[in-house]
Amino acid sequence: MKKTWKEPSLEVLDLSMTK
Amino acid sequence: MIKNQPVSLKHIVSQNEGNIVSDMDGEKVMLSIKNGKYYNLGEIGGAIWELVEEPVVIEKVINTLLSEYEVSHEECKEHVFSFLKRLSEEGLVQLEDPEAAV
Repeated sequence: MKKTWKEPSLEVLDLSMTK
Repeated sequence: MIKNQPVSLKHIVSQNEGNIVSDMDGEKVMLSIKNGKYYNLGEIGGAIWELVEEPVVIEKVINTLLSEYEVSHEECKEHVFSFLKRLSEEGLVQLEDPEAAV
């Protein structure tokens, strides 16, 4: 039984302490 | 590394160093030490991330995904290309054209 495919996405959160 | 060039099945992809990676509720999350950004790759993005732990030809990544997920070759290829380019833009992976290296 194959798994359901979903388009991969990249969620970005900027935690930079220098900005 | 390629910039603004089309990705092909023959490109070699590999993880860059300098990331702290963890699994959270089935999704892969990551903190880049280099740029201070936190990333959520999601479930399938996390699966792709694991497949590129060592340098690997993109075609092999896609074939592995095709064996595990219900998806057409064309759709899988487009999604993986787009995702890997995004990772490359963020400096998380290296994309190498083996023909350009000759």
